[in-house]
Amino acid sequence: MSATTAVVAPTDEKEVAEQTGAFSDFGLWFSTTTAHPAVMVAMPTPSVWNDPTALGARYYLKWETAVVPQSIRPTSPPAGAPYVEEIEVAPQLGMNFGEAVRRGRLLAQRLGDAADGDVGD
Amino acid sequence: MFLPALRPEISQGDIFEGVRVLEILGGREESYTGPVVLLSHDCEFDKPFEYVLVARVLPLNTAPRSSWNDIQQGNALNAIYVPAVAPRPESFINLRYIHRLPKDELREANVVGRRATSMTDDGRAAMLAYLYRFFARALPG
Repeated sequence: MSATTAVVAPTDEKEVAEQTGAFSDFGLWFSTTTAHPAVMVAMPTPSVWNDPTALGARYYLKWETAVVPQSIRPTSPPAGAPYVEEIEVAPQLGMNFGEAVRRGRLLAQRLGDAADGDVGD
Repeated sequence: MFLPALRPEISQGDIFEGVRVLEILGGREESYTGPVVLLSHDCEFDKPFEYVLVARVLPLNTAPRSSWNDIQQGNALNAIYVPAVAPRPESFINLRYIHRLPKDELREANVVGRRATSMTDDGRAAMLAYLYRFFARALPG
């Protein structure tokens, strides 16, 4: 693993002190600083190590840093984008309201039977 | 799914408006303010524990349009369809957002009139089935 850091913009001491975050081997890192118009990011870049061994070429990740506007700060969802919920559809497990009522009542009855009493108490 | 009037006491399946949830997740602060549904059983609310479980209730139009029909038909694993009951819009309970909340938050919401609606017994039975399906990835019964 090699790390290369290219400082592309001057960063004063105060700004550095305010930057927080954690590196993840394969994830984006970003600062939680909000008081500045730009944040630091680091992106893993696949590179080939030109010293192949008997096992073949080796690969490593090269970290590069850059200052990007906070408007493209890698949040989830991206800053400024309309928030859309993720929905997982499984028609094979489909259950309309009527069917859910029937199965829910059966489930509650079985749970009650298993507990030999009212599980709600 | 909902009763024409609120149950006398705060109950499982009640929907509360304007509830604030604040969490620290992975070192990052995340907050939500909006409607939630009480998932915990009535007896949990009566016991001397400080917290109960709630889930976010989101307007249907926050989900991808392509999923609306599946949510309405009960085909979405992490969603329980909530029909529109004026003034509440057509919505869904998002089971991927279950939070622990102090009971006092709900008691306060009740006092100031932000307990919006109570579920019927059928609604609560259905919610149990949907919760089972979400966690078991199988149909109950």
